[in-house]
Amino acid sequence: MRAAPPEPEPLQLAGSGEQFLVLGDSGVGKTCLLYQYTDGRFHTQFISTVGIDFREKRLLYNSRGRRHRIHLQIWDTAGQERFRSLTTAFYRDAMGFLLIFDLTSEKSFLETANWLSQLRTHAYSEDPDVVLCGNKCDLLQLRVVSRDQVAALCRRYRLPYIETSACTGANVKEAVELLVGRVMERIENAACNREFSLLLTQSRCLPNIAYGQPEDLVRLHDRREEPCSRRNCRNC
Amino acid sequence: MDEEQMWKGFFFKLQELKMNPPTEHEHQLQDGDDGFFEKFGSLLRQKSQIDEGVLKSSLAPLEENGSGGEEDSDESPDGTLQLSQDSECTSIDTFATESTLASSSDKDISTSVLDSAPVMNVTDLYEEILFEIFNNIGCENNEECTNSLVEFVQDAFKIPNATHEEIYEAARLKEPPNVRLNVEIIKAENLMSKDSNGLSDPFVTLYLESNGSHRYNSSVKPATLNPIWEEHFSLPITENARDEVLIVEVWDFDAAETVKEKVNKILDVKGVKGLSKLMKEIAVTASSGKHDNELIGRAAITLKSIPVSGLTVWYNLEKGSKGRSRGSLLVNLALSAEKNKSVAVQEHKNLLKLLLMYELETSQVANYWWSGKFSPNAELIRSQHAAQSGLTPFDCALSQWHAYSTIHETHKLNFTLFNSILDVVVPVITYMQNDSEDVKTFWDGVKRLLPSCFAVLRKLRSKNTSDKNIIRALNEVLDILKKIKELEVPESVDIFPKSVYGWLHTNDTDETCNIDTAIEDAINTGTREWLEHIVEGSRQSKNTETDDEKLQYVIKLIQMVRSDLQRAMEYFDKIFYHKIQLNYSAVLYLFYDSKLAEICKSIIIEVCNNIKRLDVPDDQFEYLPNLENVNMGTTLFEVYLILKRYVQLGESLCSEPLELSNFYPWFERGVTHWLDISIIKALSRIQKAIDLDQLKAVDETVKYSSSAVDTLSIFYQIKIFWQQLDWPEVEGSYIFVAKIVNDLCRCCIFYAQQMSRRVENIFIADDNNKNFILSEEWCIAINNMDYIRQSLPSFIKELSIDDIIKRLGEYRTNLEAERCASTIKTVIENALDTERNQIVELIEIVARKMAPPIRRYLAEGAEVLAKDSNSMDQLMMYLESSLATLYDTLNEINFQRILDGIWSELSIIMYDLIQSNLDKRRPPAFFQNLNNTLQTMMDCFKMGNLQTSDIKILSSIQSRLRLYSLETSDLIHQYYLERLENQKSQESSPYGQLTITAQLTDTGLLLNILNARNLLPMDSNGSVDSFVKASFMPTSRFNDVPTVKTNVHNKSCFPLYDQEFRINLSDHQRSEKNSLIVFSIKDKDLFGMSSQYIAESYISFADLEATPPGEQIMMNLSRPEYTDSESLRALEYRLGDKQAKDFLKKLKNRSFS
Repeated sequence: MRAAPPEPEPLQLAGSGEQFLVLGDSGVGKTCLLYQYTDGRFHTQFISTVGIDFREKRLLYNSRGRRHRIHLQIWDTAGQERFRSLTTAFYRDAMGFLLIFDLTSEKSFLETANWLSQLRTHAYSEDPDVVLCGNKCDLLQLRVVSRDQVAALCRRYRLPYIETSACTGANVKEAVELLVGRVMERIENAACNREFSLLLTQSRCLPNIAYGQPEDLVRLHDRREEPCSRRNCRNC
Repeated sequence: MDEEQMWKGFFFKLQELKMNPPTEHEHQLQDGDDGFFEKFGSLLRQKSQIDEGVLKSSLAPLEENGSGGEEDSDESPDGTLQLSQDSECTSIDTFATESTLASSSDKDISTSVLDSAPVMNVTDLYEEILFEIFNNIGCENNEECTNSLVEFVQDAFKIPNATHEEIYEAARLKEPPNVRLNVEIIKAENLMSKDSNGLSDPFVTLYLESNGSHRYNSSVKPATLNPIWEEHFSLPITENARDEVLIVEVWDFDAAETVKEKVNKILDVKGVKGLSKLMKEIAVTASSGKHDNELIGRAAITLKSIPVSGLTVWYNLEKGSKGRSRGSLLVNLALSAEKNKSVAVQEHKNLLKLLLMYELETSQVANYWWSGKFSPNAELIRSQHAAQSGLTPFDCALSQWHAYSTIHETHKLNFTLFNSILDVVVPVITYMQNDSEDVKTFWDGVKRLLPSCFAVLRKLRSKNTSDKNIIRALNEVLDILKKIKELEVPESVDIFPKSVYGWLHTNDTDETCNIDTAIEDAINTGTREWLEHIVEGSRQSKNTETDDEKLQYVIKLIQMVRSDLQRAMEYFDKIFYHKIQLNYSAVLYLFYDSKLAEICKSIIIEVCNNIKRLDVPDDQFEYLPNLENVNMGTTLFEVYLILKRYVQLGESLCSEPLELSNFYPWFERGVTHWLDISIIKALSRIQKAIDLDQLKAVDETVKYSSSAVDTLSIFYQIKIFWQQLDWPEVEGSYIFVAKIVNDLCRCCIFYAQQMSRRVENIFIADDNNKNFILSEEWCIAINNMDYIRQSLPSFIKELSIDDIIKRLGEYRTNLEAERCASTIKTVIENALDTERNQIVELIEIVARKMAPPIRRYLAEGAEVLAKDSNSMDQLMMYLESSLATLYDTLNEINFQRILDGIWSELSIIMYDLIQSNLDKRRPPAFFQNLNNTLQTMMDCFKMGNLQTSDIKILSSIQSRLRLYSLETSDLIHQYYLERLENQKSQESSPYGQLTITAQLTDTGLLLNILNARNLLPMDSNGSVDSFVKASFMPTSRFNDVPTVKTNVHNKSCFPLYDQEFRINLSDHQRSEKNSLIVFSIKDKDLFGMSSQYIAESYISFADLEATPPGEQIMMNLSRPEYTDSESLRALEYRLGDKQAKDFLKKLKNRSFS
């Protein structure tokens, strides 16, 4: 009996994984959106974030015939004015940003220009990967920001835009994956250089090994079913 | 070793590292980033402690306070270092530079000083002084003394000889002064009784002997022998004062009394003597009708015995030649000349000025030194003038106040002098009218003196000031100010004119200025001048100033301010508070607070805004940028710490809100910048530590190497930085500590990653060898990673996160605080999980690298049928040496992990080996050897420690090995055993059932085949012609036992065979419990050519023995399946074996028929 042809080894980026950062005015729904993404739940009670918060999620990303196992770490920032100069300490660690405004609050939309200016100053580069999110799209009757306004802003700053609802979960996952896609594309483009290619080659030899009883079983089972994959790995 | 003990061991090692000087290794480690973490951590803390010590110094001058034009200190006659004036007076200061007065300058100043005298000039005063010398009063007068005094006065007044001769003759020819004798009758004691009541009614009569007709009388003190008069008299003396005699008589006063009045006094009579006197008086009064005072006693006093300064003395009263005591009289006597009071005072002021200027000139007294002591000649002349002018002590003190304050404007005198004068003047001034001449004179003097008093307050920081002198001067000045402050300033007097006090703050406002506000303004003005001085002295050219130089300037500025405050607290605070209840250092601090806030804020914010953005590395950390701003970062943090300590000092001094208390927001960008630098520097340091690591245990008691210690040292320095930062605002504190935690976690992950790469390179070097030789480096690397991972949580705990969360809960809500705690916990758990995966990954690499030799040894060992091969020994030696190395060098947890890893790999090897050799049609001996090897290795790996999941895998492998190890006949038998188990597990069967009885006897088996039921028809006609055949398994064991067969029963699905068989079995055959009896039921064809197979059933000897004798046994019938048996699969791999081949062929026929 022959085993099925093995799937490509997951590409594991070494280091601490990808760190994203969420920013925007206070009350636009940054924390609720993250909770919806990581836990699938919506908290109706508004609790203002104190400075900084942290969520994580592991996901698989398919690109160019490869499957990437990504450990996503997302920093959630406080939107109040008094925290802005303090939370810039985390901007430099982030590889991508979710910039969120409230579709029912024109002020939060107009503030996005200031947030973008902050990013240009404090992020790891002057042209960071940013996805613009118009949150609370389920509140149709209360909407005050038109699509034309947003389109003009996106054209000016060349931002991808997506409308989300932390309450209903609409497009929440899509927003994050949109940002993941742009960041991964940037990384893969950088992979054209030699050192990064070597690193990718090395990382093939180092599959991500989860530690724990159930996954040990899974791993052993996978190995038994995929002897060719193991041989390929040893031949690397 | 548990985590806590590990942590303690690490801490002790850190202590040793701190006590020992840095080793060459440490130098190499710090070269990469110029000791970045040491600068921000322990070194900066040590510097802070040293700075604190330096502040507690003496009053030695600050070196930075040097200035050009500085005066050298002067030595006083007794060798004490004198108070020296600071030459840095500002333009608004009225003080001129002190210098020795030239002769012509003296004359000019003398003329200027005396310009205000309306009555006489120097010449007139000179003549008056000569006149007074010629007419000396008092016991000091003698010819020799007169001559020396004349010479002295001529020198003091600087009179030429010709002029002197003229004035000399004029003074000599002048009329002698009208001398007056001033007498104070103070009291008498123990007077003689002159009245009938035993007492007297005394009064005093006094007169000059030469003028007995002019008598002065005191008041009468009735009924006392100890009267107190305290009355003053002034007697003119027309003759030579030296020859005059004063007569003082004490009388008993008796008024004119009638006889009746005297008789009434009988009741007051005291004693017999008193009665006798009264009776006598009554007789006299009755006879003469007159009264007469009675003399008690007399005293005669020669005036030549009275000195010029006055005399107070007791005199015994006398009367005639009687020797009995009549009492004593206390008298104060003084001589004076009769002169206009105001003229005399004016003369005295001018005389004091001339004498003082001469004194200062001749004795070369230093500034602030002269304290009121004239030379003997000068003092004699001054006292003669006071006496002959009739000046009171107050008059003298007021004249001194005027004269000395005037001189003080040009030549500073000792403040003790003025303090003493105030002691005399203030009590009298208090009761004078504000419009009197004396009050005006006094306040004019105050106006002249105050500028120098405030100058002392302003110049407390003078250079080259010895401790003793400056403190003494301050004491005197504050005393002076305190006494003046208690007086009410007349409205007409402006003691703070703008022309002199331009520096007064109240001059800018409409507020009323008084001594208290002037004191504070003087202190603040001095502080401002000093601050301006150190600002200008510390600052370099503004055009070319770098950010670091600006910060150094701030540091120096605050340090000097801090020194100033320290001196204030140590030396001046208690003086100010004791004298005038002023908190001096608090006044200083409040002044500095606004000024420093203004200066520091602009500089710090500017520097923070100038911070260049760093290129933060991506998660690959392949390209770490070079940093050139590390010094700027260090200096900025130094400024922060200095400001923090400065604010703490202020909060203990002042209760008012301080501007500098909000200094920390200025540094927010600086702290953010430092955190960015620290992550980059930490990663660089870790990389360098790993490169330098020789992967040997740092000592015999631990199992990690130098890079682990170095990495924790980095964390330690970061912790010190955080503890010193002590960010006051709790929300910012949480954000920063979250950032630090995140950075520490990233460092841990980076360390694990780089350590893995390090040892992978070592493996590449070993790859040339035939076997993977397990090195200590691998084990140390694994230990290092695990050590860092285990140290992380306890280390992060020391960042006081619990305290921050608690304060956050108090500041906001507990719910929000819990979310913050959860955030930090999540970050930590993420890092720990990632790092553990990396450790497990490395362990699995080790296990995987050990796999090829293990595989080769296993294959070789199983290959040889004979047991004389040494492959097994070689395998065991390899495993034992590897495991010994692992055990010695890995810590307990990691050793357990690597056992798991190796065992997992071993499971895979065994599985693969079995599978590959099945394809090769290996003989059963191969698998038997493999099974033995597996058992041995299980013992070696301590089976009990393996995890549950591995036990399942192991059981599967063992079961498989055991199966493939069997011989073919045993394998066939295994198949039938499986069939038996399957038959027992069935509830019913579509092929029917067979019922038998069987019993093992001493000689064999007694078998009775009874019946069958529900047989499945095989013919188209629906009937069965069946018979039963019984055979024994395994066949190799029962070769000599024949197969027995029943009769055929036609056309029946329920045949009744009821046939008994006696079968002979040997003892050996009977003793094997797993032997089987196979019952095959067949359908006989009509032609008898062949029989058709229907079904079969099985029973084991063990089952027979378990059945009571005679009991019927019902068995389900079944047909063999082909595809569900591992035994069949094993048999299929033995196609070369004829027995297996025949069996499989037969089985297929039965299965498919």
